[in-house]
Amino acid sequence: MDNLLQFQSVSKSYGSRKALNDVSFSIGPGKIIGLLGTNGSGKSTLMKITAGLLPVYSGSVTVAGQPLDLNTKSIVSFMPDRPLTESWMKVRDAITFYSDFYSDFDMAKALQMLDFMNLNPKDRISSLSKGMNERLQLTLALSRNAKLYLLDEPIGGVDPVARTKILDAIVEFYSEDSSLIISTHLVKDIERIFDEVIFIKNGDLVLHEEVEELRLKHGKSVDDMFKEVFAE
Amino acid sequence: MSIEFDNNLPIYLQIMNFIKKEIVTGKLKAGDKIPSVRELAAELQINPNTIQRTFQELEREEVVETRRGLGRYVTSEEAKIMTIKKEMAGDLLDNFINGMQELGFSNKDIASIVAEAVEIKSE
Amino acid sequence: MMRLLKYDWKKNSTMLLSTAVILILAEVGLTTASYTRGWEEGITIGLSIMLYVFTSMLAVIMTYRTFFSNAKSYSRRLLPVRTVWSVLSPMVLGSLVLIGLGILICIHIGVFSLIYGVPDLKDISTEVTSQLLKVTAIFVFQVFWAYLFSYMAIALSIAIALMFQRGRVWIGILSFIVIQNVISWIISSLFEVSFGGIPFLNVKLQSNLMVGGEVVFPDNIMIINWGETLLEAVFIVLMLYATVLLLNRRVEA
Repeated sequence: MDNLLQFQSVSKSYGSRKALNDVSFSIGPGKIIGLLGTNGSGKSTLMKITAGLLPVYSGSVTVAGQPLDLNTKSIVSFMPDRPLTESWMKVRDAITFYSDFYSDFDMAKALQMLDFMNLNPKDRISSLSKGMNERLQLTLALSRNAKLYLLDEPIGGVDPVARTKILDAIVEFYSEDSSLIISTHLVKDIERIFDEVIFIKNGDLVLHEEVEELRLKHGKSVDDMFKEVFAE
Repeated sequence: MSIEFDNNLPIYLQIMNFIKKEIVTGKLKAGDKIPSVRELAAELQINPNTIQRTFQELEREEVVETRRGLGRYVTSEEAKIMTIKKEMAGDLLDNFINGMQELGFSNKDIASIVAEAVEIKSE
Repeated sequence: MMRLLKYDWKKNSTMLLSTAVILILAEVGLTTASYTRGWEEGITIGLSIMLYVFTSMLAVIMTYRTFFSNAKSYSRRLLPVRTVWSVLSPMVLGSLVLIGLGILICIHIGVFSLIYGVPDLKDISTEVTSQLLKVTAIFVFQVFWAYLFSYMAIALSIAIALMFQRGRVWIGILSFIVIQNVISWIISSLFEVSFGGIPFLNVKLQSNLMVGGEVVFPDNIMIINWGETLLEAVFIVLMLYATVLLLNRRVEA
């Protein structure tokens, strides 16, 4: 099977600031990948490019062997750091919105997950707390049967209870045909979920390894490795 | 099942040891069914592939066996379980004896200290 | 695009419906008050028209704002739909709203005529009636055309502004001014401009309604200048194309 995601020599600048510098890697199916780095290191940019939000960059990106276009948007499910919902919506409006536009949306899965996350379809989105909102965003992203899931900081700024729920949901909804890329700077809580980790520092890809290999070879946790690599 | 994990060591090895311990201590009896990859992954909040690897290794060591269509089961051979118990004891002993020798104890001393300690412990 | 339209509507539905209700109440109130208190028809008509114009401006501005917020929203930009549809959807919504407004106006005129009595159209020649209808039709077309044109110009200005991170408002305003002026300059260089050089009034009004002290209605009071209209259509399509192009080449997130 083609690599699910492949970056070849990708660079992206915002004006004079280089967000990604000659980044290359590939990811196979059935993996949960940790995309780790400090704030502003380029992780979000990487995800946004993959999701099709940033069409201008150098290098090549393919999803399931295809270049980025409307088709890849249909198989990539992105949960950005911004809400995917509009303020006039109720929870059920958000669900029907997703269901209307994405053919891979699984309504049964969505309802199941809403229940799991204790979200009430009749609630107004504007009345949800931050934690509940995070849960909703995750529900929307994971209710699709996509090939590639991109979760940008799903557990940052969220209470520990919601965090556990979110990690639970991620492990539950894992599938062998698809992969998840999760970006975070809170490594300790989540490193047990990762198959592989990619470290992005100042736009450079500095590490891409299988997590258990990392532990075996270096005798360190990913968290320790992270602190080492990203030490000021 | 709640395990304290050390993120500095491969998780799959830690799970393997934990399962072996459960078997050896009788909490998981011979022929008992083991939770599926998904169940365990969800319970421990661990990557399913890691669990998968654990099971593969345990199968390789013939600690567990897969019955097609039914799932994974602890080996029904009591002898095997005994072997595992001895292996695990062997590891503990290795570490202990090495440690004591580093402290300068002779083998005779080690044996008597152990006998003494066991007696005290059983009071 | 129907799906996009559905959600553009849902987003604005409360605002639109409440505005419609207020408008209807205001117009009813106005008409009733003018009738019971015997106001001059002219004043009533004037005020009513002002209200309608004001409401239509609100509706039209709503479509610009919807376009703008959709262009920025991640949830819209992630959708697997072609950009051209997301540009057109608010405009279609706006057109539908304008049609709805038009229907309200017709109803109002109907009610008005019932109250005040219809000027006996049979007395006036059928020629006048047909002229009246033609003028109304052209007027309606003009309103739509002006809306389409302005929407595209604003959409393009917004698309240009979104290419930048800072100073977007000024860049947008500037772009709009430049676009308007450039296009109207081109049009006026190629076509004779009627009505004192106001662009987008692609009609010619016949003067000489008075001949020998009598009002004479010529064959065509107002005709559409098709050449100019065609050119404007070309510009509308070009602006649409440019807007889609710019939105697809977003450099910033």
